[in-house]
Amino acid sequence: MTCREFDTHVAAYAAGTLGAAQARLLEQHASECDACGETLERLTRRPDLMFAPQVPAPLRAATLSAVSAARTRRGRTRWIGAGASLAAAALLAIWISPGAPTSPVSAVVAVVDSAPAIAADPGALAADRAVSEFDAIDAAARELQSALNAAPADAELQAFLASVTAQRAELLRRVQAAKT
Amino acid sequence: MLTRVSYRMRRHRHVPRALALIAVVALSQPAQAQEQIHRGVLASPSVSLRIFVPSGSVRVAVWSRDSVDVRGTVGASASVFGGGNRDYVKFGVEPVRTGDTRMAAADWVVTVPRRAHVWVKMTAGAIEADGTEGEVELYAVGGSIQVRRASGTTSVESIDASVVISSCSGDIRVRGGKAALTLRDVVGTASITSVSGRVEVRGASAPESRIETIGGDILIDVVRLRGAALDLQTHSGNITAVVDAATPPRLDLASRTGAVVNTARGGTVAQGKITVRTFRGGITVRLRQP
Repeated sequence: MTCREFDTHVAAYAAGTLGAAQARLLEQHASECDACGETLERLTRRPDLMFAPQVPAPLRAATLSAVSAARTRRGRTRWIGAGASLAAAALLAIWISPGAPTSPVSAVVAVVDSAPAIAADPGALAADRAVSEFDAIDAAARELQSALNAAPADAELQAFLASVTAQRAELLRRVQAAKT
Repeated sequence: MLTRVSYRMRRHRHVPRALALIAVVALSQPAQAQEQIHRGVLASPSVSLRIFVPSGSVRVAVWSRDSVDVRGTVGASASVFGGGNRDYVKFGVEPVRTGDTRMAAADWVVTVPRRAHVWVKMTAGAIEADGTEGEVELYAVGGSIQVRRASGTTSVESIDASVVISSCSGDIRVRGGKAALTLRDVVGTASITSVSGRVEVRGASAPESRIETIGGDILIDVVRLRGAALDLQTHSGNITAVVDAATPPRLDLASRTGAVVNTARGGTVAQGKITVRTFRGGITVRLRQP
C-alpha cells in the first residue's frame, strides 16, 4: 500500500468499515512508513472518537466542505473512497492536532478544527479539550516505559506507569461521560 | 469649501456603513429574550436530584424544607423539561428545535433539602454548590465549579473547568484535566487527580489527601496539617510544600531526576506527614516563619 492509498482508506479504517484484507495492508504500510504510522498511532490512541455513533450535522457539513476543498486543491478525487465514513472524517478532524495542511486529513482538520459546531456537541467539545491532556499522558507513559525497559524490575517505575495508565483510563471515561 | 463638502460627503458615506454594521451586529446576535421559570416539587430529605444544563449557570443552595425549588431564567432557544416525585427529581433544558446546534442555556438557582443527593451536569458553564450535606456530583467539561461548606460526599469531574473547593469537610473527590484545582480550608479526606492543571491546597487545614498529576504542579501551603497525611505524586510537575516552622510534618521526599530542596527538618507524624514521589519534577519544601 502507498501513502496515497493509506490516505484513501484511513478514514474507513477509523470507522471500522474497511475490509480485513485492506486493513491488514494498511497496518503493514503504517508499520513501514513513519508518517502514516504516526497518523495511525494517533488514531488508535483515541478509540472513543473512532467509533462514536453520532457526529453533529454542522460538523459533518464542515467536513464535507473541507473534503470538497481538499479534492479541488489536490485533485485527489478518490482520497476518501466509497467506504470512507464522513463521520470518521469528522472524528479525525476533531482528533488530530491542527497544523499546516500537509495531507487531506490535515486539510480537513484545518477547516473543521475552527468550526463552532464542535462547541455545540458535549462529546466533541470534551474530546477536543482533552487532546492535549491525552498527549501529555501518553508522553509520560512513553518516558516511563522507556525507563522501565532499562530497569524492568523497578517497582517505583512500575507504580508511576500504573498511575499514568489509570489517569488515562479515567480521562477517557470522563470524555465518554460528556456525551451521555 | 471643497474640504467641507468633501468632509460632509465622507460623513454621509459613513451613515449607511454604520447602519449596515448595526444591522449585521443585530442579526448576528440571537434573540436574548429569556423566560423566567419557577418550579417546585415536594421531596424527601434525601431526594435524588439530577440537573442537566448544558450552558449558563447552576447554583445549588440548601434549606430545611421538604421540597426542591428551581428558579431562574431559560435561554430563548431552550425549553425546560423535568419533574419528579418525593424521591427522584430531574430538571434540565434542551433546545426548542430539533437539530439546533446551540447549547441550551439557563441560569438557575436550585434549592434542595440539605441532605439531598445532587447531580449536576453542564457542558460549559458555572456550577456552584453551597452547604450541601448529602452526596454531590458535579460534572462540567469547561467553565468553573465551586463547592463551599459541603460536609457530605463531594465528587467533581471536569476536562478543563477550574475547580475551587473551600471550607468543606467529608469525602472529596476531584478529577480534573488542564485547569487549576484549589482546595482551601478543607478537612476530611480528598482524592485529587489532574493532568496538566495545577493543584493547590491552602488555608488553615488540609484533608488526608492523595494528589496525583502528570505535568501539573502541586502547592501545599497549609498553616497546620494537624496530623493529616498527604500523599503527592507527579510525573513532571514540580511540588512545593510550605510547612509550619513550629510544627513541621514528617517528610518523605523522592524525585528520580528532579532537584530536591528541603529546609525543614525534624518533623513528626503527629504533626502530619507529606510523602512526595515524582519522576522528574522538582521538590521544594520551605518553612513558614511565624
